Amino acid sequence: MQRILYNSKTGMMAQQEKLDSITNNIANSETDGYKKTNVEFSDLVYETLNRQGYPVTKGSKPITGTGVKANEMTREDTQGRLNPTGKSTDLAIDGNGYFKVILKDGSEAYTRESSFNIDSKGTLVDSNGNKVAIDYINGYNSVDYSTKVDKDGSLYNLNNGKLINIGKINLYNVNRQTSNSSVAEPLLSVGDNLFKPQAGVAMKVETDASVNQGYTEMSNVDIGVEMTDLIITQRAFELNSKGLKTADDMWGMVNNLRGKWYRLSGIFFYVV
Amino acid sequence: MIRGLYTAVSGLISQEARQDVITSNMANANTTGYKADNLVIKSFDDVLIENYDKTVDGKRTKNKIGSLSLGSEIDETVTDFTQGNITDTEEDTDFAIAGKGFFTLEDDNGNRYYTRDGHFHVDSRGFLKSENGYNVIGKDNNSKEGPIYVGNGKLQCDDVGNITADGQKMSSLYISDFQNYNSLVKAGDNLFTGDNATEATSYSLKNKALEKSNINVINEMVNMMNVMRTFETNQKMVQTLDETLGKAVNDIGSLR
Repeated sequence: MQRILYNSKTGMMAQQEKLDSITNNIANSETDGYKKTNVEFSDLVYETLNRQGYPVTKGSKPITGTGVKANEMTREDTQGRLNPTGKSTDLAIDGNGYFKVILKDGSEAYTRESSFNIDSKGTLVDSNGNKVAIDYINGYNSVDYSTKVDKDGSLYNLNNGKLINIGKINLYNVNRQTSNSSVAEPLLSVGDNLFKPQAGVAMKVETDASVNQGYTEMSNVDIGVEMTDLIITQRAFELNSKGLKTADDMWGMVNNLRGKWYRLSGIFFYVV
Repeated sequence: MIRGLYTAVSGLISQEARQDVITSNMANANTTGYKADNLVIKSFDDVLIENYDKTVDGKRTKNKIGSLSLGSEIDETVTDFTQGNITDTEEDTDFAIAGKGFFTLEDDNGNRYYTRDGHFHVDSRGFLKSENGYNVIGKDNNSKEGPIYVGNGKLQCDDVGNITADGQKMSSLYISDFQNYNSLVKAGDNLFTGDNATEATSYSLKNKALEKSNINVINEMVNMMNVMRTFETNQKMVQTLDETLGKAVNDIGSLR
């Protein structure tokens, strides 16, 4: 009887984890640069039904499953839609790549964020004040609101009617040819739209993606897909709760095998 | 009466075992590539019942009454390999098989596993791996079987499993099939183990798609109701036999 209870329990718990992922996606459906999370399921080990006291045909090997588990949340890295804003400090990435930012403690992180600002010293910073890593040339070290950013990340300033190259913003990606540790999620989310590479993961300059000035990248969450998943998950949760109720009823029947209700002058008695 | 009690109890236990399998199916209603299990219950072999009620020449002799089954027993778990529905996703590393066949996976020790769950990913070293970290096996350009290397390229796949990275053909997915599906054993983690795998022929592959669980929710609910009521009937039988035994033990021969 416990197996029935626990199978249903694993079903409900797994659907709950998926629900967590779905609601997080829906909450972030308007967050620029957000990449949705997915949760997949795996069945658990199988055990034999050839238990003590069970009538089993000689020589057969009947088995039963032991339920389901939710696997780790993975990120779906599909491109979000580009939204034209016209702001010169909005830089959206089209393709697979990340901006490198320097955090306040000096460490490096990677981000898909697209809304940037220029602080009082002329440094390009993200919404949390982290510096965007820019390779400056010819002694330049700051940008302003009139700086033009080309598709390959090159920065140009307008000087006396001429465009002068002052530096380049590089895009980075995981280098799958030189990393020496094998992990499923090479870039781990550390919150605030920032990602850090795991140990042993190498990064390279990405040339396959482009920088688009004047655009922000929207969340890649599709509300239609999330709502459908929500309904499916909810109904799967309900289905498993029915299994739980049935297990409870069956066990109740077994407990009441011995003992009956009697009625004596209008009052019910339960006699064992 | 005692015999009847054990017959009813065997019914109770078999139905409980069937419910184990049904709830395991229901828990996996959303698991990619899951194949539903069915528990087969059959009746005990009949035994010959005889008593000594026949009188021949004044002596009591054996009287064959007939044959009787002594209950139900659990026979085997049969896995239903019908095709599950295929849904589209946005990931280039999602695959689904339409038809007969399994994706071939290999762990670090060289053990082969088979699965219908095509939710793969490219790891940080550029190899195509399954959800639990096993290498996906494909045939490279020299028809040698081995892990599929994609590197930094963008993965694309056609209907027959040829995988290209940035336009260059790297490997083709090796799909295995079996003569006799009875030898396949579920090993958890959406994996099967089996012997004598051969290359599959009657399948087609879909990229950016996943195969859903093939359990039919209506079927499982109805089976569950069926089991529940059968369980209840058997339970009532036990209670009735208990009462009858009670009468036989207490009331027969009492002077009231």
